[in-house]
Amino acid sequence: MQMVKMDPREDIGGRLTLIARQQHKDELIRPLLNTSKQYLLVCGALALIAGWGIYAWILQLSQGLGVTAMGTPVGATWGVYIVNFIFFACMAHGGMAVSAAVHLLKAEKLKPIGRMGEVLTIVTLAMAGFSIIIDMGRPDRIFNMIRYWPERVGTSPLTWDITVIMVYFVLSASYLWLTMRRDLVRHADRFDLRGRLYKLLLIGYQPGEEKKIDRLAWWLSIAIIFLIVALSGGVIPWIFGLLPSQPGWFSSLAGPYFLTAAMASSIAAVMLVAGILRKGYRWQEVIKPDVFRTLGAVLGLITAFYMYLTFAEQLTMNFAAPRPEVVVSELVLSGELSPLYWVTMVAGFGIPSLVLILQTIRPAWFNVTRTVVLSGVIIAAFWAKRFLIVVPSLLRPLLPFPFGTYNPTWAEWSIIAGTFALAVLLYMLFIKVFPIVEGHEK
Amino acid sequence: MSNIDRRKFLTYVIGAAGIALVGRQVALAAPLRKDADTADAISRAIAAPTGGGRTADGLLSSAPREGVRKGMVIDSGACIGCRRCQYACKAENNVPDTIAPPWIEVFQMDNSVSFTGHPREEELRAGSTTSYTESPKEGKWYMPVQCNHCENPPCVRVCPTGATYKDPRDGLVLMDYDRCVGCRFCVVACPYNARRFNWVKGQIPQETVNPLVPVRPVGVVEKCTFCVHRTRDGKLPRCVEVCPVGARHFGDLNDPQSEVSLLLKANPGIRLLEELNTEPSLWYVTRGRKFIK
Amino acid sequence: MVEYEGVVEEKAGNTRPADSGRIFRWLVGSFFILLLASMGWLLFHDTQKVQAADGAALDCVTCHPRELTYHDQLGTGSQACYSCHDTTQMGEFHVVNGSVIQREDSNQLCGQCHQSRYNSWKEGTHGIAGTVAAVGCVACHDPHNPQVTFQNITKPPLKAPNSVPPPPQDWAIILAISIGLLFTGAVVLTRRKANA
Repeated sequence: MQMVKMDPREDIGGRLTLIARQQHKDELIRPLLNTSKQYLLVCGALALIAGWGIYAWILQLSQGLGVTAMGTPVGATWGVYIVNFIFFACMAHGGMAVSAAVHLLKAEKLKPIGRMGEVLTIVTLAMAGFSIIIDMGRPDRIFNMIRYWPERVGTSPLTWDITVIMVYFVLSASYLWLTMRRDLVRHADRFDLRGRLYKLLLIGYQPGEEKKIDRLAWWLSIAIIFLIVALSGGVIPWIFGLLPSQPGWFSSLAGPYFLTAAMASSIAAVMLVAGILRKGYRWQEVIKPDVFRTLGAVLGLITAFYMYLTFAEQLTMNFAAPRPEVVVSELVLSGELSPLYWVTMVAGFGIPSLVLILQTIRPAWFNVTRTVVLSGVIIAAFWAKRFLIVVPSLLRPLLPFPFGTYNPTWAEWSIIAGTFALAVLLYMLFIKVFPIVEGHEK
Repeated sequence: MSNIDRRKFLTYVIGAAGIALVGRQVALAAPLRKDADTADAISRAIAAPTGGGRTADGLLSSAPREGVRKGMVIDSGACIGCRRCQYACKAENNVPDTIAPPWIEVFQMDNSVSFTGHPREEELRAGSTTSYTESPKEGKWYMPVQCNHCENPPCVRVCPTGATYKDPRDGLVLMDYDRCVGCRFCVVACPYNARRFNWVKGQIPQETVNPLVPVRPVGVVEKCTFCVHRTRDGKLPRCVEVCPVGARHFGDLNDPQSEVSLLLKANPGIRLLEELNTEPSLWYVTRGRKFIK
Repeated sequence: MVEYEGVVEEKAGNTRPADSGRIFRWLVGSFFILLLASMGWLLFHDTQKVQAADGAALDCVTCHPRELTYHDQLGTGSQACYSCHDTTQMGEFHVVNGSVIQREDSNQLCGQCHQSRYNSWKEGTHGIAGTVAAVGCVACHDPHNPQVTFQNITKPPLKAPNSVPPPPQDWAIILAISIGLLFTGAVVLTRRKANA
């Protein structure tokens, strides 16, 4: 901690104010100043999990995707890797949505968690891309997707997907970089190694550039909102919703369905991350409970809306639907996958959204810890729900192939766990390198 | 300080732009696989000495004729479900044991549902549509399925690299095994479950390898090609040849005098999943033997 | 020689009166002659030329009952037999216009009803590849139970072998324990700090 320069003209009260101000400034960069033992232990554990996941992936690279439980023509052609991809890609919106709300709706109270969400976006998008690479049969040929982009962008939903994800990633990274500069400049002289990194990122810094950056950020937010809809409500659901070849996928509801899920899971993710960091670094005064109150209300409402969309989808697949759709619906509602489905819907979505809405209606019942825990539950439920979207349709083909089964192997679960561990590790690394809380203008 | 930074910045930007431009040229120089390139590839293959002149779709001899639409008619009334076509296709096209069933699957159906309907669930659950070991059985009829070489193929639409393509000259839907990245989008887009994926490296004993057909590497998608290496050489696909009851017929659907066209003129025929607008080239008729009682 | 109590008595030869010996010889001789004659009659008598009385059709099933599958639709009792077997000459086949054909031409019999199958057999597209010319219909299809032989024709369904390698168990256990310890350590330290 730097020595506070004492102006002899200031009295004791002033000196204390200066100290308090310094401490206040340091509060926001507490992660950069100390590293606790718990942090290192958790990082170690996560590194072990990630390492095991990478070992399983190397096994898969050497032996082929046969180490998974996927199969053609009977069985699931796409499995937990694609579920993971959808989960991570659709989670990558919360931060941007929160930041967009700060800029466009002037919701200043959400500002402290803005950067937490943006970093979450970057990390989860990276993990989404990694999940796709893991799922490919020939990852060594991945540049074919870019080489033949001009030829295929007119017709292939996967090419659209790559395009939108890349643009979204670039815009989000730019947004993060631009808005981080004002915090970097504040601390650039304080650190040695990190300071050099900050100075590199502060290329072309001019004092007073904040106004220009704010305007840039405003326009970027608008673009990002369009991209959010284009990604989670567009290219990702259209990988499924445009294909009549798998019963249960072909639906005009796919776009809105996935978009709602994305908004819910990403807001939940931002709340979870913010809640954990708030507890871990004692930022109870920096991130006020009001943040969780607002976001919790939004989450509760969106999750309730998602349950309505799920009900509409299942009713359509059941009422007077063609036989293949009835069969898929039966598998999910009363067949082998029904325990997973009902636990997800009731304990994963129903109870949490009900509690969150009640908390909003009755402010006296509000509790930050409970909100954060419920967010975590909702996130897990969304992973399971996406599994229930991707896999059941693949197990009940249109032609009379025997019914397939899909029980992911140890290799698949290891790789999934590895991607989660890697995501958390990357995030934890980030908070040690860059300031995670947007500093106040003082 | 800021002057030096600006200079450095400009150097970096121009350097990066230069690298990007060079990279763009390199990328664009790579041949884009349009259908015209297939003809070039084929001419190169014909001109090249044998033993090295194998192209991606296994073609060694004559080029496809223009204006032909290759199609197949399967007589589901005659099929006895012996699976000889399945085994012959597997041997002819170097399909390894790890891809099972191979490119052709033969279903055992009965009239409890319509010709193209969904069999009873108990049968699908038990796998009895494909697990039979004696055939033909009383009250059952047999339906072989494979790639239909659709006129409007969903698999070709969704491929992100263009590795699967429809040859406009003779209408076959083919694969470029060197371009496929193994994303399996085509596999889920095909409503007939006609495509297979190499989950592991297939082992084929050296003495049984057919040199006219490429052996596929791990991680790529493959499927029936209507024996492109035979049908472009004036021969019939292997499955049509070995059918012991003559249930399969192959020819040019555009030629009104071909066997398949005449069959379709004389018999009611259907195609699978017609409502999905895929326009398959594989028809099913039911003349020939009646039900075995 | 019979010996008892020291008296050796020469077993006399034939003590029967001379005339009964000759009768015995005649009996034995005629028996053997009859036996030979009936054997000869049985051997050389042409059983296949059993002619029914007045040229009426033979009753097959009384002596040769057969369980027919599929071809039982050709008629009840001996009617089904008459589709292929000649009605008056056992062991001969006849075509539909009544003329008798040789045994080695039996494929024509099948071809009368199963024309398309017969044609494709003649073309070489029916039957086991490479053996078409030599093999007749009955090599694979028993005419009385043609379905039974299909068992040899249907090939079994193909199944892919399992390709999932087992996890390295020892390393997995070590890893699980290490991860558990690290997380527990973190939790314990947090609790201790909170309580301090």
